[in-house]
Amino acid sequence: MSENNHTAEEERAFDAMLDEAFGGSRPPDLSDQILSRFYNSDTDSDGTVQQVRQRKSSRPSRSRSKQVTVLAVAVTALAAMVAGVIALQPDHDITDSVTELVENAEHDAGGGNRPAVAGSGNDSRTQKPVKKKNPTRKLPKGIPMVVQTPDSDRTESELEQGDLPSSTNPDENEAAALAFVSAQVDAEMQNYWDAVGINPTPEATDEETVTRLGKILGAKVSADAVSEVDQLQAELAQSLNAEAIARRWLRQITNQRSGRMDAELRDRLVSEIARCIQTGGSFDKTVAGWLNGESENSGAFFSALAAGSRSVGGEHGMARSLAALTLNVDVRCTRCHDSYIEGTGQQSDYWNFFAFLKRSVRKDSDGQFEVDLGDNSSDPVFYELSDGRQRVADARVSAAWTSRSASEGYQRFQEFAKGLEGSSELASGVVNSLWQLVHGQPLRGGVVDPISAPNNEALERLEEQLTEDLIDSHFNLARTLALIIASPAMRRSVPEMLLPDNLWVASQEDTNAAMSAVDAFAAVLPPRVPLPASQRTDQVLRSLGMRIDSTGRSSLGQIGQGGTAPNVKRVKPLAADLPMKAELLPVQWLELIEDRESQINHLGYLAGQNEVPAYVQESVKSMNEAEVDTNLLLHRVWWLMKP
Amino acid sequence: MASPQSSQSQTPDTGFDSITPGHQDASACDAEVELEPAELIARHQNGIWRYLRMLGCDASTADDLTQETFLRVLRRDSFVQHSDAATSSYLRRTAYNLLVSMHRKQRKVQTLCEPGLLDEIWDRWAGKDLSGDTAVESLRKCLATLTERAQIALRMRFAEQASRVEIGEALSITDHGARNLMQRAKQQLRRCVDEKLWQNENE
Repeated sequence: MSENNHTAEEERAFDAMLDEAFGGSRPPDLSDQILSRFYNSDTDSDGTVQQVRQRKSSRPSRSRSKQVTVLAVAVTALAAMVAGVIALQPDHDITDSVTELVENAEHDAGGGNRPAVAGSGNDSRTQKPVKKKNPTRKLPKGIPMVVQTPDSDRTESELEQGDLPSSTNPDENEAAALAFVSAQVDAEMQNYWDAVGINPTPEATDEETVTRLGKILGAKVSADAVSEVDQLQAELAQSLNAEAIARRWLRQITNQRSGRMDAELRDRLVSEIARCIQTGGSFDKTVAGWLNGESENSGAFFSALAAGSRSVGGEHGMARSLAALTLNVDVRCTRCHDSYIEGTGQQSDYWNFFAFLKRSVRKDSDGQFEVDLGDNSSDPVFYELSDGRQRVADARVSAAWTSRSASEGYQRFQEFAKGLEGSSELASGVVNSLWQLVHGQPLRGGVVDPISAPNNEALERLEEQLTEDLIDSHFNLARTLALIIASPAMRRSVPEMLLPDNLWVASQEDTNAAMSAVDAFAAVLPPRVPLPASQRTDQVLRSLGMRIDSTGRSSLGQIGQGGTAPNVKRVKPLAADLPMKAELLPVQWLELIEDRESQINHLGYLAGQNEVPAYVQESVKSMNEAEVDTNLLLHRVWWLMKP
Repeated sequence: MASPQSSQSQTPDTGFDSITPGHQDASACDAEVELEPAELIARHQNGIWRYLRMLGCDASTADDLTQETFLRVLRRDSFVQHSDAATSSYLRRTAYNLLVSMHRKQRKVQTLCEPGLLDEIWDRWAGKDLSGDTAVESLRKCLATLTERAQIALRMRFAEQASRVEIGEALSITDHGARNLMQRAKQQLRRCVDEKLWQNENE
């Protein structure tokens, strides 16, 4: 007992009330969150909650659920493959290979998953939880295919075993069971790697994956959740995780510029996104609310998009980020010219969109952004064609960017906002953005990008799967994020050739192969701490011998500067990913650009800059003085600026 | 007082199954009041959240565990709403078990006394309306009855998380003096809240 005959518990109870009475945390209204989770995962019965809170006795059945689902997808895929092969190549004698595939699949099913399912059916208490291993995820290798959704017969038979959630009916445009979609994503990812001929690195341990996830998202999830997508979704939706993810995703959406906006506005925006993640609420409606001005955070959203200095943000930064998120359109090239490389973007589309934004999104007298939906007119926006002619922009969203608009596109902001609700454009923008948050690059990058996964049909199907699932789930962000994190790409390990110890002995060929795997999400880079611009510049100068230590003090050894020799202390090693040699340009289309300055400018545009920052220009000057090879110089410029 | 128990070594896994809804207050089971999930949550969420705070949870943990508590109870087929009091008790027990379970998972050793004793404390302060709303509202009113120095001390402690030394410096007294001042103020508040709750109950 404490003083005054009050127990510690009584003191704590009274202190909690005092905390609230003095304006501390108050009970929030959690009705929406609880009801949303209750109704959305009604079919999970009480399993989901047990997953969230470490009821280990329930793990085996959850694992079995996904194993069976993987098996289901594997069998379906096999059937589709056989049918596809027979249909497409009737004249070829493929009997042997098909027989072999079928036998392999049956062997996998009989020797791998089936005993685990049957053996642990109703006797999970006596068995240790069986962790999923690689073999249960691997599908018959071979011809890339579209994985079909399950037909009703198979689903029913599996439902009878009680292992699959019972709400999968794609025809009703409802989201399929999460474990099932996750298994489809697994299968498509494997198809993709097979199709592009890349061998993924071995799986990292659950603990390594959790650590990596913590660094990427700032979220803490249990090791169990890594292989249990339902549990993962639930843990991602917890309040602290949701807020951490929302904060980092906002930075991602705004190309890191949200860090420079007003902190209070940012916190409000983060809270709203976090609520979407927590409750599984419809993010498309949230976006529509921001765009049509009905949301109280509408101004904050546009402030975030336009945050940053003129060299990176402003109105052009806003247009770039908004087009990427809401329309999945890349406008980095088309501000200056039609898209020569991709061949899909028109300069006029960009400027029309820019004028469309400029007409309706304005700053009020307090400098805060607001949406003006009136029939206001604004000063005409002129832009310069590549041949020097001036043209006035026609304020609208191009019909080429949207599948729902009329032939003239969207001309009013309200139409645009409304049209985004439930749209595939917004869904694919969100999917690619979330993928980039997790993997550092969009799922389907552009040909223009220095780092981009090799594109093929399997990758497109994977994007479509995630996009359709996001739409079917009514834009449930936590669900899509869980699918992305649960995919095989997240569980890859660092290639041996890229480990710090091997960096200096690896051949260029080995390094290129490892980097190709990284580009294709089949391997991961060693963990690294993002360096601020000043430290990146410092690293480049040190690599040139222009700065001996990390303190920035001058020394006798420095080129072009006087000074005294410093006491070299705590010399940090150079970053593992700082380019030290380069046989090729960062992207081959730079060859088409004759002068180096213009090449550097283009790399700046690719990095989401409006112009090349001063610290990069200084580094370029130093590298020119040191006569650094052009290829390496451009690689380092990209390293300095890349998001 | 019951001996405290370590959450790492006690409360078996079967804790969630070991209680039956409605059994906590069988005498109040005369009339069954079946609330829809939304109504049930609206009725009890403040109480459960405050109960978790009373157990020492920070606000975020209380948010999460409140959600988990309702989800667990709503998904339980055997859950029957006998009365508000019984439901509240059942929800609190579930929340308690979830917290203990969470501590075990995180390998935290935090002493929690027996749920029965916690119920007594809960009933005294916040159980009158099952939500704690009345108690907190009464406490707010009672704060105005304190001396200015006592109000400053408590405000610094609870709103600004100031240390006793800082509070002492602000009021030109020793840290020991600050502690005594706050203890006396809290004792006065307890009496005041008790009176107000008693008045509410008898009006």
